[in-house]
Amino acid sequence: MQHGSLYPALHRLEKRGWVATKWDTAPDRNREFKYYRLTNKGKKQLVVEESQWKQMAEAVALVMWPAAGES
Amino acid sequence: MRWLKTKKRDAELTRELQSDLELEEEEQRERGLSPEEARYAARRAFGNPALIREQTRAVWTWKWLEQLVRDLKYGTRTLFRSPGFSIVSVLVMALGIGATTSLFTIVRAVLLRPLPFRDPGKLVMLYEHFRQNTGGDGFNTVAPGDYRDWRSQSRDFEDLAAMRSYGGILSGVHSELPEVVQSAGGSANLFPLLGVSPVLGRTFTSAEDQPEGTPVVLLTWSLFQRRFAGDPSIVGKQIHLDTTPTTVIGVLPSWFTYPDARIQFWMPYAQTFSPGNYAMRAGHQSIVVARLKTGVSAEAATREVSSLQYQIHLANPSRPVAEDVWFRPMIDDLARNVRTPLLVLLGAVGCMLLIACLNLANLLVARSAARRKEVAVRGALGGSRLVLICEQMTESFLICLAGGGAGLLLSLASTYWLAAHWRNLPRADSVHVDGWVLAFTLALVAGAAMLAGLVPAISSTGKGLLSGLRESSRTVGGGASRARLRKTMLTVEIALTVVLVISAGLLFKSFLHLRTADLGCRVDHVITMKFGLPEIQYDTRDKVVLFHQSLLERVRRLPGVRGAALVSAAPGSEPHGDRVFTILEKPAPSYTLQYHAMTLTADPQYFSVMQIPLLRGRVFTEHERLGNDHYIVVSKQFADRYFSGDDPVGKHVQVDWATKAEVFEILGEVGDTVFDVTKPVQPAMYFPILSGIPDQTTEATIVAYTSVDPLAMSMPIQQQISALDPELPVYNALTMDQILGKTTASQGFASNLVLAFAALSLLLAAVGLYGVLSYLITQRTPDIGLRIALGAQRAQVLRLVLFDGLRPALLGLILGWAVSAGATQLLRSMLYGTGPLDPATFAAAATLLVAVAALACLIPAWRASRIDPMQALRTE
Repeated sequence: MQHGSLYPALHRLEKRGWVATKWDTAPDRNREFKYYRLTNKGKKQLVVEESQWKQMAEAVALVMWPAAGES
Repeated sequence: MRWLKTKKRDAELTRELQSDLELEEEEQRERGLSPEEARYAARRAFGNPALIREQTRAVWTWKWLEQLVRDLKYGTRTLFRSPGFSIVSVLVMALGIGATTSLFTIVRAVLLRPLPFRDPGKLVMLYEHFRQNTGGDGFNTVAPGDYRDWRSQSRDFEDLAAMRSYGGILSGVHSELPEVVQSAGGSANLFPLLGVSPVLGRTFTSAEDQPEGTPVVLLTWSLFQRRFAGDPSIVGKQIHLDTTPTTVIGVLPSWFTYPDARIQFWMPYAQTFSPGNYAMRAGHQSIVVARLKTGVSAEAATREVSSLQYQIHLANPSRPVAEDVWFRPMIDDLARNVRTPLLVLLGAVGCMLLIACLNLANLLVARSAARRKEVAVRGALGGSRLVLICEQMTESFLICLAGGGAGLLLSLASTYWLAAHWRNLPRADSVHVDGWVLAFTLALVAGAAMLAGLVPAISSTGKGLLSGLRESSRTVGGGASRARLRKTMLTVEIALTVVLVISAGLLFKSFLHLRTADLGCRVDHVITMKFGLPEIQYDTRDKVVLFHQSLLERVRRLPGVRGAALVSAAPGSEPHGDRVFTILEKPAPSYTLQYHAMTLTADPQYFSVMQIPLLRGRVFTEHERLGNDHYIVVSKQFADRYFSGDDPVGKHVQVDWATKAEVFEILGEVGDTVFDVTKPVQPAMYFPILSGIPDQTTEATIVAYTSVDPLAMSMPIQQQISALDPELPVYNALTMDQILGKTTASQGFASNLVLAFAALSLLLAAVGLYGVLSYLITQRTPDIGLRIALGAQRAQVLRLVLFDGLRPALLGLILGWAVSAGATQLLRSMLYGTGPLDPATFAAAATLLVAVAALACLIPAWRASRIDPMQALRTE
């Protein structure tokens, strides 16, 4: 994956208020970078998304390996 | 504000991407790559920065709106750059959309919108059906006796009401200002059944709805406004109807124009009959409207009434009583005569709109070809196909939108014109433009834009993007697939045009057939004029004959009149009705409906004045008058049908009047005259008008054969009538030419409209053909130049190009023929004197189309043959 394609996703998260950004100078380099940090709202959303992902993964597993669930 | 924020965010994004890219580059360099290689590697790892910026920006802004604004801007600019093309396209679309909208408005008002009555879906019309009746549609009007039995015995209908059309002379209480108007009789329960309440006064009571009930009248709104200036004090006052003092009891609302806007007043149904006739089963004139009970189907309810009718039929073996009852939903009943013409016209304008769309699509394909290289480059650089398609569609969308706007204005004007000029269009007053019509127009615009824009947009952004880039260097044979697409569209366009031209040709041929129909009598220099003697004053045979005799003498003495005669109804006008009879010398095996004929009354000179040929025997003389009246003259159709062409002279017929039966001797046989040119000739029997029997001879038409302009004689003749009776109104002063024009007017109207649409479509197809061929020539200029340089003759080039253009035309013609063979079957009920597969019309349409197509191809072909080879090869 080209890492440029991360930007649309990052900006979408920022728009929804799940991440906060700030420009800061990196400690080891003499230049400014943009830092992305999870907000509280973002953390809550992460929990929701994680549980949804888990459910989804379990459902997929149940379909793919039905015998494993029974034994 | 917002714009500033967007700008700031843009700058920040650029900085962010830039710093990421630089970091990547640094890291690559640290890995030991040369600066140049490091930059390329960073770019590869990062991706297309322009595309990423676009996609990231899309997160923050309303991308689609921005794109739309940009597309609109481009589209408008492109359209303004070639104003000629734009104006023509907008006009064509305006015409197509406008005409379709107009027809839709009328179809909606007349065929689709529910009737303005209470719960109109439950209203059905009931008709009698004679099993042996083969002519007509089988729906027969109802006898009052049958209706009254149905009403008292039916359980599945909530109620049944009856009405009939009627006439009358309306005048003031001192017999002043007499006028002959149309009226109707309605039973007391008719208005409650329909859910119509009067705006003033009340409707009829059942006590009034008796043959000898108190004379009362309900005025329609138009009469109330016109004659009584909307003065409400008229309610309760008296007016004279056929010289009978009658009380006005109410005024009907302005929207109530059922069944016909010409009706001026309503009388109680039973009062339009004499006491003896109110129970009759042999005379059919009424229309029955019934309201269904909830939960009962029209079929079931009608079956009940129908079995009732069959009992009545069995109980009256010697009388013309129908066996069955048929029903028709009220809304279909009202529109039965205009349904086919309306749908045909709607189909015609739909075809025209489709042709216009195809034409626009064709022109747009040519324009998109010019931008092929640009589109290919943009596609190669990562422009998404959807964006490119949208951009191309904007142009067609803009054209259709402008066309739709202009078309809506056009249809506003044309809809009202159509509704006003379409004779006998039911519910014409309910035709108006509303939200639904606007929505329909918008849908048309969207549909047309899709159709006209999508095909060229998809084809020009399709898979051949790279080939587009490659092709551009050499144009020989370029755009072959595009040309195929355009030719396909052209073929469809021409096929549709052929269908329209053939339909229009058939309708026009029918119209001409009707227009030049032989009425069987003298048509030029004849003026006709109707009058009706009030039976209250003219109550004896002597009085009526005296009037008729003196009028004839006075008119015959007028300078400019070559001959004058009296008849109950002039050919081409509405006849009085028909009677059932039996032939004494040739009794029918059992009672059948076959023995009926139109009844007319005429004076001895009528046949010579109107040049109706005497075929056998003799016509009336002055001796067949007053009591000596048991003689009739019959028409050729009468003799052919009931005597199988044998000599009818001297035979006797027994005619079933309402009250008694009488025997008449046949004096002679005369040629047929036609009353309704759209129907087969009816058998007729003429009774002597000089019998003076009040209820048979008081309504008369005076016909005069003049040596001068017949219309100029109408005033002198009217003066003679008012000299005899100043209170007698005269109506329908028409020449025979006018009568014929009136009866064929609605056919002419529809056929002329379809003809106009067909002509427009033909023009559009020619423009389309010309456009496609011109485009192909431009594309093939180097190719043709090469051929000429290598020795091809100009005639050969001409033939090559001409054939190229004519091929889709011929294909379209064949396709159009095939479609027409099916489509014209739908026209069958509108055709007279020609079949739906009339070979002459099909051939004429083909000739016309090939001629127009050849003309449209000839100009580009000639231009191609004039190409200068040196110039053509140098421009490459």
